[in-house]
Amino acid sequence: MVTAMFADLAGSLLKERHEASLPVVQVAHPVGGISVTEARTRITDAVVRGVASSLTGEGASSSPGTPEGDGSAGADAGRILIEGGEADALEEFHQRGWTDGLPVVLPTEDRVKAALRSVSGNPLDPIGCLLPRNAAATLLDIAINAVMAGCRPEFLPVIVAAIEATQEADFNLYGVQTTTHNCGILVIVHGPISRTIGMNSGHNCLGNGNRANATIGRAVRLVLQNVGGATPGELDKATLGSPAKFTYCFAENEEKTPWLPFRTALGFKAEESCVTVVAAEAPHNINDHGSSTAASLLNTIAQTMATVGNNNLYVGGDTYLILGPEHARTIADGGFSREGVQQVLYERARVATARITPEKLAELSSWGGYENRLEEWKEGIPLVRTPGDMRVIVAGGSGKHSAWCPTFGATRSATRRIHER
Amino acid sequence: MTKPGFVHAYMPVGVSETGMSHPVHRLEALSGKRIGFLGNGKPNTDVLLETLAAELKKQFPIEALHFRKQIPSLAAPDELIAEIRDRCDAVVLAVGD
Repeated sequence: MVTAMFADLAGSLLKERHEASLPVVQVAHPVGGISVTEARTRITDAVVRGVASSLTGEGASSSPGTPEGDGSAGADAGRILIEGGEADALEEFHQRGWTDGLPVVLPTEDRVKAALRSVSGNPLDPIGCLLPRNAAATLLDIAINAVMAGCRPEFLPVIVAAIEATQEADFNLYGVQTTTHNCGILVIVHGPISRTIGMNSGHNCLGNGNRANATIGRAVRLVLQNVGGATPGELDKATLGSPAKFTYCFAENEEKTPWLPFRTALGFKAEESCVTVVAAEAPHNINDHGSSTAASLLNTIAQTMATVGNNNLYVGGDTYLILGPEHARTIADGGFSREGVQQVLYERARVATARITPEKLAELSSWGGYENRLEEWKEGIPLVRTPGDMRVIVAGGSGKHSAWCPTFGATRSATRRIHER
Repeated sequence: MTKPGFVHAYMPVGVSETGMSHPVHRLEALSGKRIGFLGNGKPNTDVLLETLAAELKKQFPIEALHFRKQIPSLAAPDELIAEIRDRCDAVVLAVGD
């Protein structure tokens, strides 16, 4: 049983999961945000009859195993032949929904082969199973989408590791890809490779102007859209989406980090390069030109984070604070380690229940499963459930700005080592 | 092998396998059956399923068992699915928003 606005998602998912024969009964949309009395009216006589007959098969076909598709997928899989020139081919890619709406580079054999030379392994080896389409992503598939995104060949190992990272169970790729939330895939690159391939970890690193930053994030999005099946409006049900869904990638500024680099704090070696994927909202700026002490600055950061409508407050997960180097220095000079920052923000980034209406509080506590801690947390519901979930990383150039990236909540970021050829 | 007048390129979507849809297991009749009801946990899905179960019980002698998924954005845990499988003859899922 599904609301009408999500019937196409249910149908597509059942088809991709080879469960197309499962009956779906629609009810009027929406179900949330209406009164209990109105919600009850969604169960009409037709809905009751539909469910009853679906359970018994009465009035339905006998639903034997039925073939899906026309069997032609294998015939044209892999390569495409398009009449005309490259401009015609690119138009065809747009028409088929294979782009992000911006022009792409045509993935010709020469370009894709050049990209594959930067990684080891059989091009047809699967890197992971991408949900919701339940499709195997091979090195070849990733290389094709990387070429389309405009990547140089040496960027490919980063993208492969990022796709591997999305396979972590706690990353919850299925939910991330199909949610109504507006999360993009934030890709953070750590270690020597970020310098080798010329990534930007300084001024405007989350903005425009650097080819590696721009195209690595874009390639990850294209892989998840084209191979993973997160087609906007179809299986990707984001209510609004976000500019972060075009590309969202930066490198850690290790030179300006007053603490251990992010990856070594996670247990990776300093000489190893890594990539982290985060299902995150676009960055929310934190401006503080006035604070000269760590205590004052951390208060600004905590109060910026303490908002009612973000997903972390609902369900937890980890959340990302990107400290600008000058803010990081002020905090470190105040005697704070990274763990100290995490602890303070865990304690201070809280929302008092008095700021939340009863029906919203009921939703929050139900989703978050913390109804029985409301008395304990009366003075403030923590943004995250443990200090360790308050991730802290340093990036950017000069200036008194930092950024907070709330996440999807029902997700945890994942970090993988990058294997260079 | 190139063909004059044509552009050759790779498709970016991988290979989608043609497969067989799994058959659906139907009940012969609803009478005396235990029907599970599992919502995705979003607001009012419990209202939806409780109303549906009440209406079904008016028409059929069924036993309704209600289950709850904690977080809408996460798949139901294996233990919960196993419990539903062990205790119910059929299950109705509700995805609301």
